[in-house]
Amino acid sequence: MRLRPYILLALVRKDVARLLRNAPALMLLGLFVVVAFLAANSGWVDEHPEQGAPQATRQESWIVYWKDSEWVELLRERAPKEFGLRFLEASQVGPEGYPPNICVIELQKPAYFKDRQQIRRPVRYRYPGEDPKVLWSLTRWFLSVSLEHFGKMPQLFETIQPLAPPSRAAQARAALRRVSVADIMSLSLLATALLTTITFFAASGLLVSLTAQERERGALRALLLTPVTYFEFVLAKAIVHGGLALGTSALAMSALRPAVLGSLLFWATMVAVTCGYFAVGLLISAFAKDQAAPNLLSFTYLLVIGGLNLLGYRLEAFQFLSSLTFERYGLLFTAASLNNPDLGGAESLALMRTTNFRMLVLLSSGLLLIATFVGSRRMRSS
Amino acid sequence: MIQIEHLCVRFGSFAAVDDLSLHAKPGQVFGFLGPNGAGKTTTIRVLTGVLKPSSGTVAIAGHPIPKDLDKVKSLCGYLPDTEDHFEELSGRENLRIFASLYRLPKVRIGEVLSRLELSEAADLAVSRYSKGMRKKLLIAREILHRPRVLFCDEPTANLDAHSTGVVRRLLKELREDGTTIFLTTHNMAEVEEICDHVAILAGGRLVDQDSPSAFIARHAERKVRVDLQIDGKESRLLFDLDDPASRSQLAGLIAERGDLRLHSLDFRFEDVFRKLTGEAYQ
Repeated sequence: MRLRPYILLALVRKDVARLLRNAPALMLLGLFVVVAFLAANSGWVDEHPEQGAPQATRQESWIVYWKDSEWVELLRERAPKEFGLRFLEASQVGPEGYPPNICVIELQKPAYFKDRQQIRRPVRYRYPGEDPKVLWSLTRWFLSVSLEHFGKMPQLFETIQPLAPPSRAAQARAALRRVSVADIMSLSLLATALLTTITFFAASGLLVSLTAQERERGALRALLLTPVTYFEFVLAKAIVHGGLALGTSALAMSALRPAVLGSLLFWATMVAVTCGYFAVGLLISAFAKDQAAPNLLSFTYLLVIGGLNLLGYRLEAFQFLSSLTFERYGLLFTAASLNNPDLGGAESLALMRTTNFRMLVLLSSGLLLIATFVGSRRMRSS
Repeated sequence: MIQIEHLCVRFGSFAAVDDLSLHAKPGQVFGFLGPNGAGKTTTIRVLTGVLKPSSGTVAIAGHPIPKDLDKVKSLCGYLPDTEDHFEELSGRENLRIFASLYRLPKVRIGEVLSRLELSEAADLAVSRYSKGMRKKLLIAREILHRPRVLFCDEPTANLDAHSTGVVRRLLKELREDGTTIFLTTHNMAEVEEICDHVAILAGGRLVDQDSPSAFIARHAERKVRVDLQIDGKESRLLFDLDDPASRSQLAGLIAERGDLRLHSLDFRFEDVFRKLTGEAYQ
């Protein structure tokens, strides 16, 4: 296993020069960093900005009128606090209708009859649940205030009916509201996903693409007919792609979680994960004859491993399989270091002595050894 | 410079190269010829250390392969039949990579660029090069470290007449510099023009080896083509002067007819190649 610094330097220069000419890859990496900066400097979006569709609290009652009038104004003035009354124009009620736990008095458009001499004012009382008695105190107050306004009992055309059950769409929206987006879109989760994407893209995806390109064009053969050894070739790639992965990750984290850049656990995890992804890229590119299939394969790998780990968290059947992937432990320690950015050196070392961290190192370094061996065999045969 | 003794390369029961023995001297252009599938590429793969021989020995400049492959690598250059550059980099950058791998001074890059008439285009991306320029860059790359042995696989394939001339001139210059050139080509005119010694391979076995002129002298066939009119139609007859029956037939025809047009046929190296590799000489 010979290692000559001048050859290593020449190969690193070659890979860096090729990377710098790869505008789409650089743009994509830049985009990841921009995402990190935007996320770091942005407030969270209001999750449910439903304008004109007010939501009721449990204690509320609503008076919904077709048009504002002195009657409505008096009702507003006389509204007792205990009813939690809200006054809304009919147009303000959203398409999903009323919330399920309120009492409503609907003052509908009056109708004239008998040559416009008489007026009928339709009023509909709506109650939640199955018992209309919940309306009593509210209707009693409403009728007394109405009497005060009209000076006599107004010509009300009253109906009482329960609140309509919510539509399927409304039920779905309500279900969505119960799951807060903030629960799943934490900054730590965003940072973990970003770091995984960056390390995979730089250490594996880009490696596969560029190496497959070299093999397809025959440049790889030309290099290996010079005094370059396979070990030097791989080491140069590891320096360039590993450096790119770690550098871009550091840049992204300098925006999202600057404190984590001083964490030993974070860097140890990142190095181990980068090694693992580099090994995956090396293994895929060892079998690559052109560019299209390996690129698809590396994308598929990410999907399959992502799916396997997701299932492994939820289903016992997949737990064993996911425990054989370095990504499982990588995600665990990336999230742990992001959630505890101020972890001291001693604490980091203690965590690095755990079985889970040893598994991460064992799996990623084992994969790297296998990939180097297979790669060297394949390189000779091709 | 190149010594091959009883080389055999087998893939399962198939013998790609069978008991091949060759010896190329220093400063010689050694033509290594054969029809497709004859075992030329397999032999070159063994010589460049890519493939291990099943039996036999191979050595370059006295260094056995694959044992001393690392020593041999810096003595050899390999000019493939396809361009294998880093397309996104410029010609100069491509050469700089290889110069660094051989620890050559920067001035050497300028020298080869100028020798191959590539100085003006040196800073253009290779993706913008013409086919001829790419081939020249390939040669520039392979002669950069002044190899003592240069393996050339179809060096003038798909090149125009001007570029072909440049490549051939360069190969001759390299020979004069003392470089051994191991050349495989299907262009027999090229063999006649630049090769000092030729080995012809067929079915993995060595058919014969000699200089092109000696090949022609040994295998030449003296033939005469006769154009004449028979029943008002233009006809063409071929007579072998080495065959007494054919010769007497021709003599009879000449005595009988006064309107004959006689053409002596040139016997070239291509005809030797066809004859030795099994195709009938026309």
